[in-house]
Amino acid sequence: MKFCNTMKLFQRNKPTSKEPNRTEALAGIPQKSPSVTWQVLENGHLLLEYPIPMKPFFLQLAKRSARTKEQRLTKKLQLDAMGSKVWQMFDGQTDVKTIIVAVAQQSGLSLLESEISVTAFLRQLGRRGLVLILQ
Amino acid sequence: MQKKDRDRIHPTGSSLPQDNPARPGNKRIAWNSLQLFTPKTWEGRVAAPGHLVFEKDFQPVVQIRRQPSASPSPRALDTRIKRWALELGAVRVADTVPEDLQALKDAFGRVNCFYTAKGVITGGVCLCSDCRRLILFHILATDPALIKEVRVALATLSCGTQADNIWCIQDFSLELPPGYTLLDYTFAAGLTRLAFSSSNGDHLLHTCTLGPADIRLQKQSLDEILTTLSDCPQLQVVSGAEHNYCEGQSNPTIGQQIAMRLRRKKPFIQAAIRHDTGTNRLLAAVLSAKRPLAPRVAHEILQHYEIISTK
Repeated sequence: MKFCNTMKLFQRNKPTSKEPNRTEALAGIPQKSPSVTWQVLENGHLLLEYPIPMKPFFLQLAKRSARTKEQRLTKKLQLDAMGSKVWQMFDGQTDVKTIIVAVAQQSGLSLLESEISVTAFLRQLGRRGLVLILQ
Repeated sequence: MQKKDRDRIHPTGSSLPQDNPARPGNKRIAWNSLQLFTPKTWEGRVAAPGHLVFEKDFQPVVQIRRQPSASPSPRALDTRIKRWALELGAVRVADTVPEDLQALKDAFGRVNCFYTAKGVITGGVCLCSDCRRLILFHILATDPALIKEVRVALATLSCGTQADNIWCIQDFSLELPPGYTLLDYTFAAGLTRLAFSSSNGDHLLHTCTLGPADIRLQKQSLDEILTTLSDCPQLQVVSGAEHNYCEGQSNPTIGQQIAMRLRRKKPFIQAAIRHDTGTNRLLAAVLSAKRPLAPRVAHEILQHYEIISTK
């Protein structure tokens, strides 16, 4: 018993990050990140612009080496037709499931294909910090 | 016990009698010897080569698994069945089936149902007396109306006949000659691919649907797509009269045959592709073999490959 208690002292408290299951993930509500701006191009596609997250040290280096006096560094991302339509659905009220069904109906894809493409799209946007998922 | 023969049924079941499970509102599912009819509101997903999960409104309602053939020993089979019942949380295994699942008893030689402590069916096992295939079903729905729908669908479950080589799931239907077995599959956005091998291993067949076709055809022509899919730059492509179909064949020289065999590729290739304008999909079949192929085999296979509307 004493040995067990001693061993517990050496155990690290691992952070318990609970990954949502599929039902919870589909019930999530995507929302556009407030730091993202976008414009509509001539062909109807969207061009997103978002700040690049950088550590203060590298940010200072960039400012000193850059000739322009821009306060923040940004990246641009152009979405295709379907991506632009899906982006417009991120209104903070429509859940992922509804978006998947809408994409399936608009594009003629099956629900499975629509789910794969929408979740992959959300993953890509999430990695860049362009979208937040509200549970 | 002789199995009842299932009639050849049109995939959409539009002109069939009311008591036929393939009536409107139902769709046929056929995957690796698992066959049943489900409501059109269900979505069938392939979890493994012999494992299907059905969902309604993104909620799983039932899963069906095909197990390896049963051991001839009755004791070993009973042990397996009891183990599965425990996995499903059942407390009782019964040989008798409810009235609405009586059709399962007719289709299979032996059916065991698993019951919870409250007397609710949670799953069961069907053993086909002809082919000795074991099919395990697990009811995941909790809503009583949905459970009723599940039981109606389960009553149509069968393991097909040896001559049936039908693959009908998601939005496509494919009928193959007997003897082709599934090697691999891919379900991705805009791409559905199935790979089959003939019984003697000589032929390798790939079938795929690509969508949306209009966007793909903006970048490549139909014959270019066919050449890319067949991975054979020497493919001699011939276009159909309506420009929404083309087929190709390779006639490699001895040197080319040896080079391809050294790269572990089958040198004789036949391929066919069709643009289904109604559903905006491209359907293709690519057949490769070590020996020369009979004429237009890929064309024949493509004739039995179609996109079916699930709405």
